[in-house]
Amino acid sequence: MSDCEQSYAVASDNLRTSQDISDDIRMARVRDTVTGLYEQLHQPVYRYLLWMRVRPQEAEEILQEAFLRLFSHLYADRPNVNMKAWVYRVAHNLACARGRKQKFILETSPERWHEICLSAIDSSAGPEEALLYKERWERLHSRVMKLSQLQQNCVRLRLEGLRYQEIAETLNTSVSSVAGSLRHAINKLCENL
Amino acid sequence: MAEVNSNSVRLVDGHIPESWIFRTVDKEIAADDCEVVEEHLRSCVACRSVADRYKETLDQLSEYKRVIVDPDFALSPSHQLVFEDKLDRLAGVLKRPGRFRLPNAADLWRSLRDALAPQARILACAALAIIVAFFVIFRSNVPTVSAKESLIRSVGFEQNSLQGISDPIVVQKIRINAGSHQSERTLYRDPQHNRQVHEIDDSNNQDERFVDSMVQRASLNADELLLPGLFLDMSSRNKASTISMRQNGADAVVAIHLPGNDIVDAELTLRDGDFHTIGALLHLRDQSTIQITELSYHVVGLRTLRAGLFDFPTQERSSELALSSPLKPIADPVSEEIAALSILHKIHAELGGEISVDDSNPKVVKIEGVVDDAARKQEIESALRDLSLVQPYVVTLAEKRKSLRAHVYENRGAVSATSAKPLLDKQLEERFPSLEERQEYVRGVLSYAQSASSYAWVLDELSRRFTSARYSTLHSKTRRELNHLLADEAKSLSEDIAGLERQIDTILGPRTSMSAPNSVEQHEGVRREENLANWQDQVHVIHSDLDKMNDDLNALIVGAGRHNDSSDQLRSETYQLLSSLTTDIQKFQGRLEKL
Repeated sequence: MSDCEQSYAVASDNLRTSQDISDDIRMARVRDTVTGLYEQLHQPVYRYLLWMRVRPQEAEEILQEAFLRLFSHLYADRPNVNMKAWVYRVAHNLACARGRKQKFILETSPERWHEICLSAIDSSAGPEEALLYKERWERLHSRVMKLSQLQQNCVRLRLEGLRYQEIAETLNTSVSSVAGSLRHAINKLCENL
Repeated sequence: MAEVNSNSVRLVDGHIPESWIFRTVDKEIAADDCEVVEEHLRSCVACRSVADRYKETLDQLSEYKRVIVDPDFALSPSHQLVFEDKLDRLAGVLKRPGRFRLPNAADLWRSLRDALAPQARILACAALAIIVAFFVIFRSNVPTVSAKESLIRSVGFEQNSLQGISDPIVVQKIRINAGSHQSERTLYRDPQHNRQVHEIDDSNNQDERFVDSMVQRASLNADELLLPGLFLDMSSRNKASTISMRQNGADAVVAIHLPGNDIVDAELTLRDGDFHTIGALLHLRDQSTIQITELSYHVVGLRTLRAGLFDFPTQERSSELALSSPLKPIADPVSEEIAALSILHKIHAELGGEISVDDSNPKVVKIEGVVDDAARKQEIESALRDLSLVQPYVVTLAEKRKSLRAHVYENRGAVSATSAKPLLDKQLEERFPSLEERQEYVRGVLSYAQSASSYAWVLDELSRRFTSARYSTLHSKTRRELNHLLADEAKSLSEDIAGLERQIDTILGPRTSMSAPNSVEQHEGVRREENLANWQDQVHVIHSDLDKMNDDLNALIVGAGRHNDSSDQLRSETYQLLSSLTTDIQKFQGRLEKL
């Protein structure tokens, strides 16, 4: 079990044993748990939201909203959950809800993508090498964009280090569906790369 | 090929299925199965190449993610504080005594089912339905407060929301629709000090200009668009105005008719329950409309926001960034440098060489410096954290000592004490008979002189970094920020010169006894004035004059340097330098205003 997972387990135990204690102490424990999780997870969840192409300011708001909801959830004595997957799921759902309104999502224009490719190229690379590098990035980007939404989300969460079970909980799907989506996504991506 | 011996893993045509290989790489199968697959991979080239291809693709995707996400956008430095602030407020709401907490619906149903007989259950449900129906009908038909009272309550909402927070700042995000143009902006309002600014979230230039022109046409302040008090005032001032209210779903809409005003009709949407104004629809005299919608409303402490938020009337930074790039804001090194210098100025870290800007790499703003302790280092680093191109390399004195060899410091020794008497020793003794008083006075004068020197040094550094050619190429906003910084430094310098003048007047004697500048000196002054083609030259003159004056003062009251000159000569020169410094600084400030 990783350090992170251990700390979730300890946090869950703390909350589990807090049924009979006073409300103030319970609230303090929930608060500690949530702030501890926030410290551990704010960067990965934020990066995940940015990769979902949510604007940075919106991503920060969504991130905080997800943890505030976790606080309410835990304080209301709701069933204990895998908190990491829970936070990802709430953040993901909030981002999707905003995305449906088509107001908060960044679109990467071809010109902008061209700029990103150029900025990623090592300055010491020669012109030919830089061109190859740029073409490879553009190819990968266009392939990622062609993946289904589920496949893109599975890949993003996999790269954030989530287990299949956690990805399944986040995306409200089954573990086998996650495994299948990942396999199809990788096969599509590595064609001619 | 190794024989596969596992309950779960099955070979297909002598190979492990792809899904099992992927799961093995991701450590998503049982340890026993994992060992079996790995053993097979060691011996089977085809399966190993599948695993390698999977790993390689994941590596490329990681790199792709890094390029597209990191480190383009960082969380705001105060995100943790803002989050904890929100958390505390939520905790306060959840913990409020007497707050009715809804029980879990399933538990409630189970309790009812256990407690009541089937017939009683039906009766209870019917009674509940009747009560709810009555409540809904009664609530929708009977207005509880008048339209004006609703507006007054809306004004009171903000007052209530400020309570319990030190230095509260209202952070309100709004969207403005004017015709087919749309602009989103974040308003920061400091009700206690009556100041406000806004940041534009996302809008192209054309939209922004159009929306601003519409707001001006409505004679409104762009930072006060959703203030109910504003409309209450308009209504009070216009005797022909009428005000009415209607329900729109759960929310109330207050309609104000303002005949003869630029805004003919205003419809404010007040949130159900707390009367907070969440939207406005304004009809202008020329039949155009402006719709304002609140996207979010928070009250946070001033400390949670970035420093210097209210220093400029309106923040256009976000807008410019959004224009230059929708995904990754491309910061301009020059504007970042000026922003960094402004921040350093605000925390008094730009003086005396504590911090200097290294321009060896034009793509980044490298700021190096040595500070007293770790707290100061942290203060500087966190102040600069918002600036993406700025790389602070700040070390503490202790760290610096560690990195250098001990003998460097040993050989330095203390500043050598002078054995020579100050030229105004006699006057000093007469004016300050006690040694302590004399020392206190000298320290005071030197402190003003050093402080003035520091500001002049900073101005001189800025003039060297932003030469007239480079200055002329600066973007107007960047130039404005630089001018603001220069004006601030000049003001501090001018205050120090005034303080210094007051101090040395007591010991140098009246100015009338000094010889007036002769014609040669006057001519020199005129000639020098003619040569000062730009503010940079003027700054160089101020800096060099201040250095000369410090030398004179050292000789006069400390006893260091220039012992060959007579005290009268030096006194006269000091006064002349003081006078020309005051004039030059005033001229510099005047020139800055015209830039």
